[in-house]
Amino acid sequence: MIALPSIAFEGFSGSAKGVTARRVGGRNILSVRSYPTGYVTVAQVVRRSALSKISKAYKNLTDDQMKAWEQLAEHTAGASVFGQKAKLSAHNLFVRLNTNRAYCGESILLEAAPASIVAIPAVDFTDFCISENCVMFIGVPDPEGELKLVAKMSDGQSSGVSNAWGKTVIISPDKVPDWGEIDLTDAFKAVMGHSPINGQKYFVELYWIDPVTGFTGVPVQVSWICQDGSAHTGRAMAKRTTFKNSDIVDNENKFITDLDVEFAQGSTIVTADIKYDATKHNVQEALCDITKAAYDRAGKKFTSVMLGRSNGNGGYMPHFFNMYTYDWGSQYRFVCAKRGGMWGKIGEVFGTSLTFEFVN
Amino acid sequence: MIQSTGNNFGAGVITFKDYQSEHEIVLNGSFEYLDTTDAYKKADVLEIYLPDLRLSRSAISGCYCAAKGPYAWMGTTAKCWIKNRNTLCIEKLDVWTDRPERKIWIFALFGLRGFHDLQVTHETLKTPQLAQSELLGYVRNKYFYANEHFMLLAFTFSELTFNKPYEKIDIVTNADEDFPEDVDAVVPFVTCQCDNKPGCAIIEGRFKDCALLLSGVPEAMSYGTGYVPFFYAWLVRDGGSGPAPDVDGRIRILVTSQIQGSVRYTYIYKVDMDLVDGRVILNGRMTFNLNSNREAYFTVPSIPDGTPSCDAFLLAKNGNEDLHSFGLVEVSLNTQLGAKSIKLINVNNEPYFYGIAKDTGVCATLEFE
Repeated sequence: MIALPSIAFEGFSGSAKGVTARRVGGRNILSVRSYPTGYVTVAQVVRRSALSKISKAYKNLTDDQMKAWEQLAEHTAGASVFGQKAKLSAHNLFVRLNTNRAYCGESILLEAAPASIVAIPAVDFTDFCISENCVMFIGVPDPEGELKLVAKMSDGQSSGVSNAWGKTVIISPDKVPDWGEIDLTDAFKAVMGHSPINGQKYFVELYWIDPVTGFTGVPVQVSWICQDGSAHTGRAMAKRTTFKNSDIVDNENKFITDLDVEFAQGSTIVTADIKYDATKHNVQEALCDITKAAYDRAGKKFTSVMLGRSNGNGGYMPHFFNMYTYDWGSQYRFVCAKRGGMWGKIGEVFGTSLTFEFVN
Repeated sequence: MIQSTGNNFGAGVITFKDYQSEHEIVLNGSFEYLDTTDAYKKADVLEIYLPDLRLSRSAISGCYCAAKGPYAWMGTTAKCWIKNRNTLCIEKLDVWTDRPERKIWIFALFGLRGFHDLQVTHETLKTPQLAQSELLGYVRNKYFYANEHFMLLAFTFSELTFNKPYEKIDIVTNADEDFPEDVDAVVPFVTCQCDNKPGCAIIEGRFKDCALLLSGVPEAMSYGTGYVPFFYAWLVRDGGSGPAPDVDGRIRILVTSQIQGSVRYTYIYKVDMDLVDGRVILNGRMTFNLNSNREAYFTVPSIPDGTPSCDAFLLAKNGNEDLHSFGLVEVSLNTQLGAKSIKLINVNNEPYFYGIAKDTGVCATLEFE
């Protein structure tokens, strides 16, 4: 905003070509229309589209419902301004909690005020890494209840910038820790359109949100210059060695419908939770082709043994499988070959085993 | 051993033999319960409460669950996992509505997920030559792995339809090397006999004294492919390599490696001998080389006191893989007058004998001190 004590604009008010003039307290105020300069994330679109709807919905609440919101608002503080916390109005609290819920995909409006303020913990973690290949926080404890993690990040800033919290945008509104890990690598790339760049500084804000009530925890803020090592140990951090659905090549050899295999590096442990439909396959095996990147990820071809069973239509027949990978020319194949049990063409492979060197 | 402190489905105290480390847990145990109890009906997931486990959680593992049918336990596999340091969870697979008696066998390995910065490594899997005392079927798809804490054995029987198998007792052993002798467990064996209810018959065998003993194995349903009975279990070892404590009168002699004096090409390596059955039977598993001399003496201080002097003949195959031949080695144990020695004698016409013996013989000239 610009305030000009200009005689030329004395008594003038109105808008023209993006410039608005108005008279406030005996002064003429000229303001230039502002346009958003940052990235518009999915979460922001949700918030903006929901905001108006939620705001209007407040007027439709019953008197009792409004009173309950007012009572709750009396015990709720807004953002701190110059060390003094602002009071939130009932309307603002209603809008804030419901837009928070909208982030998490809650489509039904919370009309009844929560019985009390819900204390949400701060996000805790043991280490994190912002590298060109990996944006990840590890050692994040599972939260009590059904909390989800909201992650805000800025794009790369000059390494000398000390404060760019205002430039953070939500890159992921609904993460839950997966074995203590919050992996933001793909979310960052999807929102920013590129991976982090070595040498640039990134600002990250994390907080829990309760999708039921919309309450959020106190944000935890970290800033870090993109580099290979993690913040605490300095060791390179890579994504976990897994085979997931995204590793399956969509071709005629796709008989696995849900692929979830993970190698626990260093301990030779492999765990699997796989669903298959081999109805159109003539061999007693569940298989799919995987990408070369996934094949290489496991180091080299391996073999293992797992339990499994056919589904209800197949009579819940117990199976045991030989699970292995091999390369077939330019194709890289993941196979669960049934060895024991009565074959059911639709079923599951699951369990924990060791990885063994592949033996022909 | 660990004992449960409770459960949420009305079973009694449950005992597991366990191996626990930083990265993995192996649990062995089985238990029965009824599906008619209120506790079971209320449970969404079966939970067994245990004293503190080394892992605070685990990935999915697999176990066996069954309902008692008219002839056998009829069952399938189920998922199980460690939920927290004190809770083992088992998938509630409630598909036998008219069979209230239930049983679960857990012979499972539990491990973690969530590792980031270490390389994937591999163990070495063995394909053992499994021998059967009765030919119930053809043993195929054999997988064996053992470390000092636990072992994995998995194999299938194909065409399990011969010679009224119900009447047979089958002892499955490893002809290549003995299975660990410090494993003792009543284990599930999955047959492929069905009765139009979910799952198929699961019978119990016993793994003990380096062998899997199976009895009452029913015929499989068909010769057809796909009907393949199997065994798959992770088994906890008790530790130590001493003789099983409950075998009365057993004498065991173990020698890791010994060369006869300075004579090159005359050595014994990995001798493992048992004198059992009133000390008349000598079972020997040994690798030796008698290429320089027809006879070789080895002083073996570890021969237990009270071992009788005796002679026995053992068959041995030629250790050179290119020579598909076998021969006879005479084993002479001398404990007279305080001596503790083993003499190996090449009793073949061939002068050079590098052999691997795995045989049981009757002891001759048995003499007690």
